[in-house]
Amino acid sequence: MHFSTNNHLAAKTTEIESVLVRAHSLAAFVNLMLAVVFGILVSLQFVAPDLFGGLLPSWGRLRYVHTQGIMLGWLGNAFLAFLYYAVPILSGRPVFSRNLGLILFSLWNLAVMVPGITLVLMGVSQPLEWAEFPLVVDFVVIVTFVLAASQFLPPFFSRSFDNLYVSSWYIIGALVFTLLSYPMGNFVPELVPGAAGAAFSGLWIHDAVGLFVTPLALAVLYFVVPAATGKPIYSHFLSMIGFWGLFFIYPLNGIHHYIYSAIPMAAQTAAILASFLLGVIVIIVVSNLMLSMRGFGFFPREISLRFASTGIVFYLLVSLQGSLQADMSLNQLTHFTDWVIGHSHLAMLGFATFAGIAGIVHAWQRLPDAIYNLRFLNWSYWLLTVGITLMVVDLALAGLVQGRLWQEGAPWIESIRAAGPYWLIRSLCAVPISLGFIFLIAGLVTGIDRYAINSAATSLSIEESDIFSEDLDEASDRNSFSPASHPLQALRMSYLVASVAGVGFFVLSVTLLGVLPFQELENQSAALAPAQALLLSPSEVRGKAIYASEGCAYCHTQQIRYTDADMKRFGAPILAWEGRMDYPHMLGTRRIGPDLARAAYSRPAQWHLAHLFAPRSVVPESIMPSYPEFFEGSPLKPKQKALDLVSYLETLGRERELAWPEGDTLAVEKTEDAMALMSLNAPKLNAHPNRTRPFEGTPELPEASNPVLASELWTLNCSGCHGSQGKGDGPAAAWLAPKPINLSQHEYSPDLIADILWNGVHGSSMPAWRDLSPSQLAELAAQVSRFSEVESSIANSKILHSGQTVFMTHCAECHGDEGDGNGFAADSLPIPIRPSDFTRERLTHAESLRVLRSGVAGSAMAPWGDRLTSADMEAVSHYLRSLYKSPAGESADD
Amino acid sequence: MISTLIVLCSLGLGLIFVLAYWLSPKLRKKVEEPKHVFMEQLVRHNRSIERKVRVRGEIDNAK
Repeated sequence: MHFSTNNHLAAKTTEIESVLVRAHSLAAFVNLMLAVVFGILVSLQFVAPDLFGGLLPSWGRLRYVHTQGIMLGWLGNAFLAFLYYAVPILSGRPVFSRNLGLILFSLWNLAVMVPGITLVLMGVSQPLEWAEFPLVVDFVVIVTFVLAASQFLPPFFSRSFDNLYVSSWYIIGALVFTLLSYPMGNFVPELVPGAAGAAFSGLWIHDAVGLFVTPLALAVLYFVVPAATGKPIYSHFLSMIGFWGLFFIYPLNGIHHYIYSAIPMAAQTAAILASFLLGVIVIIVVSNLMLSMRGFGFFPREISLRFASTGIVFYLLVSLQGSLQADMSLNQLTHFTDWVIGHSHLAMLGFATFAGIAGIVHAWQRLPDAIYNLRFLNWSYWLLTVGITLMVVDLALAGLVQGRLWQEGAPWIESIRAAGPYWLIRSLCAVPISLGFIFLIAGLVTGIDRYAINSAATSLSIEESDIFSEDLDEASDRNSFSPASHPLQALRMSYLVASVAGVGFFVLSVTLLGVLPFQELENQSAALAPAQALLLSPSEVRGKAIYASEGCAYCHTQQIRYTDADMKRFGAPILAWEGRMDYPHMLGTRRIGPDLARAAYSRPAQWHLAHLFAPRSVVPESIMPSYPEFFEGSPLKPKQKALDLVSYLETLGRERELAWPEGDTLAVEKTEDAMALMSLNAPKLNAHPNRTRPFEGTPELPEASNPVLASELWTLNCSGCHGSQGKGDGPAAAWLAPKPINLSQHEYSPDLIADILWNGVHGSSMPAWRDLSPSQLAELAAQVSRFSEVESSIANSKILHSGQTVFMTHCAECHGDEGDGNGFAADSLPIPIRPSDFTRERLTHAESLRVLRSGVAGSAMAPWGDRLTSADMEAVSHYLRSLYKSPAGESADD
Repeated sequence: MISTLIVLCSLGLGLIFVLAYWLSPKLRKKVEEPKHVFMEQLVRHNRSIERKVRVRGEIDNAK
């Protein structure tokens, strides 16, 4: 169905394809509800990670389809619906072809959205922000953009440009520049590795919003505001300043998503500056739109105008927020936190969605036979406004809390704990938001026909102005493109120059923020990298693909930034060459879990397997999704997928670790780059707080004084492996080798327990706890002592002598002549767990005998039950227990 | 260097546009003209829809 109108500029009928307006509107709503459901499922897993068991696709896959569903499914369809309504009015010409419209609609929804969502949920995807659909779908997206340009641009190009209204400019700009930027963001990172690839990704992250979503949203706002108020906009000049400012400046913002990264600082600075300039441009745009609404209040009665009005406010807020968070000091605090998630929701769900709704509602109300329900639309407006505002404020606060904890060096899990209430509120915000969208849909499929009651259609009026007193046919003649004959040829030329300059600025942005950083990073890599790249094994390659498809990069960054907080927590910032084989890059833009750039050698494989199978078994407060589908029912029976993924984790940071410290020492002499030197001179290559280390530099622990805190710390940090009573029977105990110690059977000297807590036990799953304060460690040490049930040593000298003989014969080569764990073979054992130091550790007699008989699985301690007699084992047990040196002035029983 | 270039380009272009707009009433009128033309297009569009609906209603009533 279509309807037509006489238009003096077209001098013939102008057709609006109302079928396509409706079709894209309905498709938009279907995609919107799907994306919202995916978003809710994602958010609920922050609150209750095991809520859905293994029923749903993994968190990462749901996260991918949530964002793509919002951008391409919801907003893409919403804007297309609006274009079918607006372009004929703006241009005075019908769109190119109705049949082309049907093809475009089919491709957009059936060849992009349906396969895109399906493939991502099946694990076929691309791990790049706003580019998550797989490459095969990206090709179809580009075809659809070509078709969209063919559909909507000819009507504009068939008339002169000098009377083109600002909405038309935005539509033309969006279609042209998205066509340019989409391939760059989706294909180039597959060809350019590491930080250089991230530079191109950064451009696309910003261009997706800035050159696709924002121009179309502004086209809607500049259309709806005058159409609904019945008054022309305040200033077309300001609107054009805003338009060209946006297209010049927006692409230059891209790298502000990677501030403090390995990308050259000059490019980062340019992006920061452009971010501030963009703030100025947005203020101009918003001022113009606000002035255009003078007299209608902040909450106009006309519903599409009210959505538009609030969309404008959201636009101002999100843009100023964006400019501010590019500032390096604020960026240090808020980057990677929920602040950014709040920012993106304000952009896509606040500004763009409200604009999209304004466009759809405005067009829908004016379609013949279309019904709508104002009451429902009003409900929708208020529910969405309250829900989105609350969610954004909540996430911004969560981000500030997380950022402060990260800056302070608090244990990572504290940021998870602190964010918990905010995540709960975020999930609860889904209630008003979902209801708002339901009312929106209900508001457009129930109610009255605008024209049937013959009311609103006559409400439009126009201000008296000079232009309307002119003969419109003359105006039409004047608009014909004839530069030579027009007295204001300069203006036309300026549009032409500006158009060329717009494309030029896009090329400039790609050159300045993509190509040049790439070359500089290539040069740096060539100078500093080891000659031969360490290629990934087939298993590691498969592991990386799993890491990508499961969305691991959306919670774990792989970029230690050039900031004090990052260097202290994770180690040396990554150098460009460390990602030289990273196609596509996995730098990430969000940290829910810790950074993994130096995950290699930080944890034993068994810990990783247990963590993947049941994350809360080893980290009780973790919110990481579990991946039981990677196992045959137990971490002891991993499938190939789990082994591949763990293999890949062991490659992260491996190359530099293997070359260290000689590699860094040599590299220092080959560069004068301040950032590279900052990384090369970092105090520690790997500062992972839980990484085990040789016993070194243990701080003196203060006196413990708070058993309640000790118990709490124990439950939060230790109970997963050692069990609630320290008996080595926690949920993860059975999956680890060696098994966690049964602390009731062990007694440690205070200095040894401090060493173990501070440095971990290298080769076992016992991590270092360097992110806990000395006073917290002291409480844990006291808690460990309280678990001990070790009896005092009561053996006569004859037994001790006999035991010593056995010990010197069979045990001393590892445990040392003095039993202090420093035997000559101790440093060359195949398993790097050091032999026990019996001068600082004592076992119960029973446990001692058990270990002698059975050995310790997962360590170099062999079973001696078939080689020693019972009497020998009895004797050596007594001898070992006698070596323990109790703290001065205390008996062993104390 | 890059930052300076961006600032100068932005300021330069902005200044040129503002000056031209400020100094030339003809240009000013011309630049503002599209918003009025757009309003006219909107009004005509809405009137045509009204007309169409009215005609359709009359036909329905006649039936």
